Amino acid sequence: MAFLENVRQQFAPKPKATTNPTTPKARRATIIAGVVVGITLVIYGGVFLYGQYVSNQVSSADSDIAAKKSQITQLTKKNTEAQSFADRLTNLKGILNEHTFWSAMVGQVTAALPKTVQFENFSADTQSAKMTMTARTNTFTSVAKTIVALKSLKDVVKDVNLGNFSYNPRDVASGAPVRFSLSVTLNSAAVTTPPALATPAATTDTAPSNQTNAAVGQ
Amino acid sequence: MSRERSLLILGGAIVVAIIVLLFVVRPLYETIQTDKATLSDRQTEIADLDVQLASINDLVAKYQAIDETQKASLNKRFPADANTEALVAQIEGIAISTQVIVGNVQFSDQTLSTPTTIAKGYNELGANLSVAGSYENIINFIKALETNDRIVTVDSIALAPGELGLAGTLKTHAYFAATASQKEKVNTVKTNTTEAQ
Repeated sequence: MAFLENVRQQFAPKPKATTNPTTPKARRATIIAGVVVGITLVIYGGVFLYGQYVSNQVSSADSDIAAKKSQITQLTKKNTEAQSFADRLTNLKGILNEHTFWSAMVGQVTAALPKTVQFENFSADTQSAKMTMTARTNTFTSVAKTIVALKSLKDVVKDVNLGNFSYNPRDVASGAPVRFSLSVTLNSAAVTTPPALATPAATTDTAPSNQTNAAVGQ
Repeated sequence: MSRERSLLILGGAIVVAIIVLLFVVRPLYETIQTDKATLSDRQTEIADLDVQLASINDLVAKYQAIDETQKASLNKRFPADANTEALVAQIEGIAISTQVIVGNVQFSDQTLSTPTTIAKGYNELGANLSVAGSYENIINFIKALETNDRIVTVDSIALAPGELGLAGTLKTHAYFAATASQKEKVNTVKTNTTEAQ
């Protein structure tokens, strides 16, 4: 009997092994694992998408830069032309500041002189703002009048210096001229001021055309 | 599922997550940071280019708005090159109209080489004129030079009695614009001067 019982137990269908029911802790661990994987995927996805977005922005910026550079290149010729024009306009201001108007200055000075004075040599220089002249006249008084006349041009003349002077009463009495040289220091602003803005010249009645023409080697 | 297996899965998940974060997400993030820095640089560059472009457009628009006759006038008064032939022709024209004899015209370039000319930023073309004529005519000649289309500045006058009344020398100079290479030189000198200060 015992043997039979033993055989039956051996050959009888064994009951299926029952799986261990999932414990709450194991379930929680599985859920946490899922959450961890999920979060990781979300982070990766987010970073990936943001990376794509930034990368696209950089590409867009690059093409924007290329377009602007191309625009600038297209304008280069016109820009160079315009820049050169602007530079020249700026330079022109400096040039006009150093431009001189000697004709008006000489005209003013000679117009102020007595008619009896005749130039022999004349020189003027912008850098020193000086006019030097040798002249002749018939009397000593005319020399004095010349100096007074020049000094009266206060806007134009800063100073007048009498240089060489030859005067012999006997020679003058016999008709020999009085020769003298003058150094006139000018107001340099007057040399560079256009005539229209300068002080009006002395009256043309005293213009020395005859005297100067007469002076030049006649 | 056994508790051990679940813990194994959790541990694995955490390890995988750490690996992904360290070796995938982190490099990606660093790339993004680099890209963001690049983007910031690009945006600055774009802003600079915008300013540059606006300035160029403004300058070009102003230049295009200038009358062609005014541009031609500037070219006459202050040409782009020495153009001595044209200047000689103008001096001859003035001499004829004012009845002054110009015996000799001697040119000397004062190009952008000295500190003074570099500071000015343009070239000067010196011209010494030997003249002869009456006082009136010579004064008219000087006046015509002063108001010539091309700007001519009279630096000095030296006159003495001569056959036609007066004879002497006028030292003058005209101007012409700096070339592109000269402008670079001027800018370099100016920059160096500023830095030295």
